[in-house]
Amino acid sequence: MEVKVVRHVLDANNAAAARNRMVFAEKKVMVVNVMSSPGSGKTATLIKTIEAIGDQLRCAVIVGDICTTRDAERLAVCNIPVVQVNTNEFGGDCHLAAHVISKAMENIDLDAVDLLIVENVGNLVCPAEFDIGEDLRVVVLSVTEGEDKPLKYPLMFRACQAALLNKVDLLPYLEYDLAAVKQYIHQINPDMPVFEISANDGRGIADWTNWMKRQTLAKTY
Amino acid sequence: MEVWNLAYTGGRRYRGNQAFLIMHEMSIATEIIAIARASVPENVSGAEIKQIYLKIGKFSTVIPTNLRFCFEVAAHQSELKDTLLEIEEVPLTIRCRNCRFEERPDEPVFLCSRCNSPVDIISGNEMEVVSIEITENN
Repeated sequence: MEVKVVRHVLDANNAAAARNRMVFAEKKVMVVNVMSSPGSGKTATLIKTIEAIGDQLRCAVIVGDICTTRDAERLAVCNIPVVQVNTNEFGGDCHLAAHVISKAMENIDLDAVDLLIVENVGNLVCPAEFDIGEDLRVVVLSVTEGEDKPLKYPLMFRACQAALLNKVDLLPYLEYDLAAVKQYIHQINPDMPVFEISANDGRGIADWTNWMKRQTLAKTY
Repeated sequence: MEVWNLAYTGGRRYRGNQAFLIMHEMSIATEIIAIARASVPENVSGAEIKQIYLKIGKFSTVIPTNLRFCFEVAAHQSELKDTLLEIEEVPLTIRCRNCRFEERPDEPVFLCSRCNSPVDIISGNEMEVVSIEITENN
């Protein structure tokens, strides 16, 4: 006997994401999901980002890693609420799921937050599939990773609203085709703004944070 | 600073060696199993799930061969250990926002090949449990 089901495989996750989204809307919290491959500079970028906007927007961070609290420890310099999620002590989930965010949220006073940044597990594949209730998705790509990264991971670049091209301070030492990476990004996502930044020396951070501030203020006021 | 150690996905703890099989498709397989079990009608007693029909889009991050492997691991020593997966792979189809031309790109190019305008994805993202085939054993 055939039984019709017609359910999305990630129904349970999507339902949890929808519940998260309702809470964030009620509390007027902007949520940004930051994704990248390991080593692109997400944590350093977030530190520079929070330094730039922390006096204008009340920030909090949920950090996801398979192991260690190292990223949360680095973010402690920002003096904001930080919740570290370890998906498995011995190597586990390669992404953050919505129910994990639900749990982590319980440890943040959302009434005192304007902008919640989720630093996802370093992975250019799976996080793109998992809605966590965010308003914005941002992908960080570093110039040390190769211009063709967007072509190899098109779903991630299609699923995000902005790209941060990090480590541009290293360009003088690399044979990196800046025009090519932007062409590849825009053939996958024509509307995607690309911010050239350095989380090392801070260049480009103002343009990126001004863009994000505009998105945040549109939601929180 | 709060630290959470969460050794599970989708609310389900991995059992035995599943915890060490770190593949994207593992969490997908466990969700499919949960949906299949939940889809057996309550008024059907002693049902055995013989087959699960899936639609997997080619632009999703799921690789069917990996999914079959992970399903086998996830269903091991359960009532679904002999359950077959029937997977329909859905090609990526895009439609131009300007001229409405539809095409199936061979490469990840999301610009209309006719007028170079942005496109919408109209198929290829699917991850769906379409139906299950059950037998009653009463």
